[in-house]
Amino acid sequence: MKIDKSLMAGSTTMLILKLLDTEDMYGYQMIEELERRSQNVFTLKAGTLYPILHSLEQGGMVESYDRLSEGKRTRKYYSITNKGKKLFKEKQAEWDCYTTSVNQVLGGFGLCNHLTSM
Amino acid sequence: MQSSNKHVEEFLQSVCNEIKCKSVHKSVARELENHIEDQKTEYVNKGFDEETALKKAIKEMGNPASVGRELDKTHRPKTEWSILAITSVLVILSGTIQFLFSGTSQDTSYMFSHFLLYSLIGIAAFLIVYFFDYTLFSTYPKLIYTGIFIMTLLVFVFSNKPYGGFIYMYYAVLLFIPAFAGIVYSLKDKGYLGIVISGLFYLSGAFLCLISPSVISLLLLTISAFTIITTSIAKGFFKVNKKIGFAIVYVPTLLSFIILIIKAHEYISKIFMIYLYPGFDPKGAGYLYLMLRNTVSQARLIGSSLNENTIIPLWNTDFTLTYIIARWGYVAGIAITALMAILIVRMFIIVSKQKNSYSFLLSLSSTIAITAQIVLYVLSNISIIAPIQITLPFFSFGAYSFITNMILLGLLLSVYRRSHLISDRFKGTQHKKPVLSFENGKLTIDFGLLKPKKLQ
Repeated sequence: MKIDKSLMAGSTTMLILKLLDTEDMYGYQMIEELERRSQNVFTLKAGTLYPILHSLEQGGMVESYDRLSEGKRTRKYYSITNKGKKLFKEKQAEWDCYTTSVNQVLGGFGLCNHLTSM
Repeated sequence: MQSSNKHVEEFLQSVCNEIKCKSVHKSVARELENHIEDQKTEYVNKGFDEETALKKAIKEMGNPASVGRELDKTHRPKTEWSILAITSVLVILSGTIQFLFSGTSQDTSYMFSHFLLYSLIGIAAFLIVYFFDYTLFSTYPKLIYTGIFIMTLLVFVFSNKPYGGFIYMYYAVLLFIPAFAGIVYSLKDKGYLGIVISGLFYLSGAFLCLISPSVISLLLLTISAFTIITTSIAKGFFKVNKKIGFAIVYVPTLLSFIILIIKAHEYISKIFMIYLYPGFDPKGAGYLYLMLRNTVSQARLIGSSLNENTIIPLWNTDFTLTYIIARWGYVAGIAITALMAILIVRMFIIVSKQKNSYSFLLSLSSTIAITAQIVLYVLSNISIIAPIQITLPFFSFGAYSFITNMILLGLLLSVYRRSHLISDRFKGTQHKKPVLSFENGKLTIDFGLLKPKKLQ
């Protein structure tokens, strides 16, 4: 199932941070990994990914370094910083509360009580 | 952008056309090109032929112009407003003081007009350095250092040596310091020999200070060079055992220091006597010190404590802060010092943010050169240390001091402006050969001196 792009827009940063929380990755790898984990629901365009990555780097949320990867190409790897991990936790809490609230409205079965801190 | 394929190149070109900041073009293009290659390989694996795979991969990237516009938004050069604001306040205050006293006596009549002229030249010098891509300096560090050396020497040869030595040495040293940072960068990864060669470059600058002779220039150069070299060893730039690295720097230094003390103990003990007993030699070396100390101790919190006995020599250059304290009170002096302190902190924050070793060394060198002047100046002005001939950056009257310090500030802010644009690209490309290598029965000695270092 393809989803409306605007639905994804708000959560892209969070998803990128989540990916980097597991391991250091380069851009293409992130797109692949995201597709794999979401079973092809999320297709992130390079044109969206790199501006986000670059601004995260400027904000000190991620850091980049060059590393020779398999295939003998030097790739720009990104790794998450402590500041980035904190931002991820905030985004996730925000997201949890948001989805719970949406579900509450839609079906009335969501509970937001464990997230009252947000 | 050297891409094997015309289509890829076209794509990268139209992305980069949208990005105003040229210094990121290379790294952005490389990253995107890698991405296209990866995507292409993926399509080839899926069974497409090379050309279709590539076309599909490029299409997958999206509209190049809009990708470029998005990237442009994140790659705007940054401006350090707080440092610019503080410097402007200092320059305006300095100008105000020159204005107030211009023409109050015969020897001050020229002051304000001189100030106007040199401040314009200084600001122009700042702007040129600020907008110039400083990474170009990294290509010929030895040439730059040698150039400053020869120019200083020429000034020595062709100008009459004034009483008290060449004052130009002080300004030359301010330029030697960032040039030295370039030298250290070019010797990165060169091991122990790199440290020794850096030391030789330092000694050549120190030699000029000695023949000048200018103790304060030697002090400034030494403080800065040692900070740069110590930080470089600690950060592992030379790729050596840190303890041995420090030993190479500090054992000879300590030894020469001990020899100096033994050889010149009379002179040195005299200086110490002035510190410990300010009354010692009140008509000679202790005179200035006593004069300044009395002025500072008689100062009020707010308001003037000047009287007919107050004499502050060189009040508009070397002892402006003492003068301000005497003329307007402690509060005014503390305010100026606090501004300087904020400036120092902001400068060090810039240094700490540098990821790339060249930007780090260059920003560190400018920061140390400015900071050392400020600290020594303040200590000398409030009589904590013996009076020295030094200028307060951006504040003291004087064309050379102002212009050279503006160049240093320009370098620092130029680094800041591009700090997020130039990340460390050296890990893969750096000249990694050790100085001495033994391969296939051949001993290779490679100083890496002949190769200009290129950033990126």
